[in-house]
Amino acid sequence: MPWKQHDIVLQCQGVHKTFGTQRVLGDVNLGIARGQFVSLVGGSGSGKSTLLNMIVGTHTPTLGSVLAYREGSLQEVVGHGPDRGMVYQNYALLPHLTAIHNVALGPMFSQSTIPGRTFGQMFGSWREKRKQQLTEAEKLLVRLGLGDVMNKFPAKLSGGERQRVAIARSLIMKPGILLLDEPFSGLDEGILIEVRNILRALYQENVEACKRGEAPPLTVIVVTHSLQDAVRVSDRVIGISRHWNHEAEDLKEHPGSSIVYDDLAPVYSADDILDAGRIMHQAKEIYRVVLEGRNLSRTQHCRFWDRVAAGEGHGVMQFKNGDNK
Amino acid sequence: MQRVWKSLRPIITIRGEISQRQGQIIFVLALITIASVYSALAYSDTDKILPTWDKLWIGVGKVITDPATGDHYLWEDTFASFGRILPAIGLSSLIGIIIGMYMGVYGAAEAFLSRILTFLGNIPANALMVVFFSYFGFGLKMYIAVIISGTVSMIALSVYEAVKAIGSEEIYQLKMQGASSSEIVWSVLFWQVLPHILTAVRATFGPALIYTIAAEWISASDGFGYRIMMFKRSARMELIFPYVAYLGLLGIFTQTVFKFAERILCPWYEKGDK
Repeated sequence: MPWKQHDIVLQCQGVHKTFGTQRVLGDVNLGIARGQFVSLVGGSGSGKSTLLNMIVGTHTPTLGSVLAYREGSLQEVVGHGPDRGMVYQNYALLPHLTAIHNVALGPMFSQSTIPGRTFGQMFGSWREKRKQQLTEAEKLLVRLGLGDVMNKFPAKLSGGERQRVAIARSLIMKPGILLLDEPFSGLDEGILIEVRNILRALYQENVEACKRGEAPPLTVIVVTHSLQDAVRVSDRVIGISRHWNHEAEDLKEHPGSSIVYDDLAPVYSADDILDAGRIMHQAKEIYRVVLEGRNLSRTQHCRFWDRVAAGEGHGVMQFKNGDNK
Repeated sequence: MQRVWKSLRPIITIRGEISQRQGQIIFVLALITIASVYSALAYSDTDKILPTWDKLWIGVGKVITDPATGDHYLWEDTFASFGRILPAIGLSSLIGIIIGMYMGVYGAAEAFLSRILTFLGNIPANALMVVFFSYFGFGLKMYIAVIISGTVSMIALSVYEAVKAIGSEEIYQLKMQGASSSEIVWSVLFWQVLPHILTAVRATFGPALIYTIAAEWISASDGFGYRIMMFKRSARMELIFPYVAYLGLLGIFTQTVFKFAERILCPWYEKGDK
């Protein structure tokens, strides 16, 4: 595998997924390095959400395996775990809790149990701990610009605010991998810019960590149908499509969607000026390959690891495994 | 003239917005209509079916305090009947909530119970009453059994539907946050469906009152059902009408209590708009 010398936190090995007789994904092979921000694009029904759900642990692959980094090694994904956070398209916030309590819920569940809380309430030890958790949640919300609305219920928040609360709720669990399902849909332009800025700021933290010789804290996978956003917020774009040439690989039956595009994408730090021309150009290329392409060769447009090997990687990919340990 | 028409127009317009004051006036008009129709019908002093206003007024005094015996029928019967209804609804809610919550999250519990509960819910509890008479006699146990058999499936099924309506994403999210199964069910989902639970429990008061009155008719020596039966034997409508009106007011009072509880316990919950 070409990614041998990198610190891989997520790996898909020959992943197939069928629902009944419908072959959704066929032979997906993928390795994502620590600290990368990856966009996953594809047409409707191409299986990108299915892939996301397998990574998060909601679905299990029919064949092959999904491995995620946990406690020092790559381990097979079994069910949901706090090492992989997910921000759903509908945000899935709890309507009966205020923003801050939505965020502080994870620490409560992971650091205590029902009897622990009941007895702790009596003896006062729990109240102290809860205070710390709420302070932590508050800090995170302030960092994401939600200091003014943290005591509001989700129904009183705007779409963009809800999404940031959902991001905060995942971040407070300190996941190694954060998955975002269509984070850019249904938001107006002003909020879109804020969400992109949050992602860029998080990426910047990864790069800073690499520079200090530490492991970058967060790996992100964004599923989106907006090709320009895909190019804008990530350092790598992966496209999946049903229309690849399985006969060229001596397969009689079509096994389902697979990766047909995998290339570098430019991530910009929050205050850089965007190179709109380059973004448009790459978005057009992705459109041609992933959405319009027919009878594709699976290797032709998957140049990511070749480019990294040639030293073209930027962001966290400038740093080889070992540099950041 | 045009101004008067403009202010009256919303009254005959579909979804027209009438002012609060107009609403109040229309309500008072309704009361006046009912009172005048009654006055027109109840004119005879000898009519036992529709007592005159004077007789009715004496009847109201009598059900509050009977000058002959010194009994406070209304108060004593409220105490007796609610002494049967409240423990029964409490127990029924407890069972219904537990069953409904687990049916909403475990497919096996759903498969095991949903059809059976729908079946049981369709059996009128009044029809089962004879069975409970023979099992439990005529004491409190019988009332509890009748009311539970008539209301538990109502509560369980509405709790189940409310939990079922919650998106799977939310539950996955809770799992990612490290919540155990009990925490998902009781620390999160329970509070989230509490408004629906309150509505379901509130809705059981009507049927519970029906079953209680029916059972008291046959078996009790106090309570609303017993008293109405006694009044009916002597055909004393001037006593029955205040009783019936009181039951209506009691229903409105119960609803108000539940709405108040909802506002205190579920400040986040808004019907309609959101």
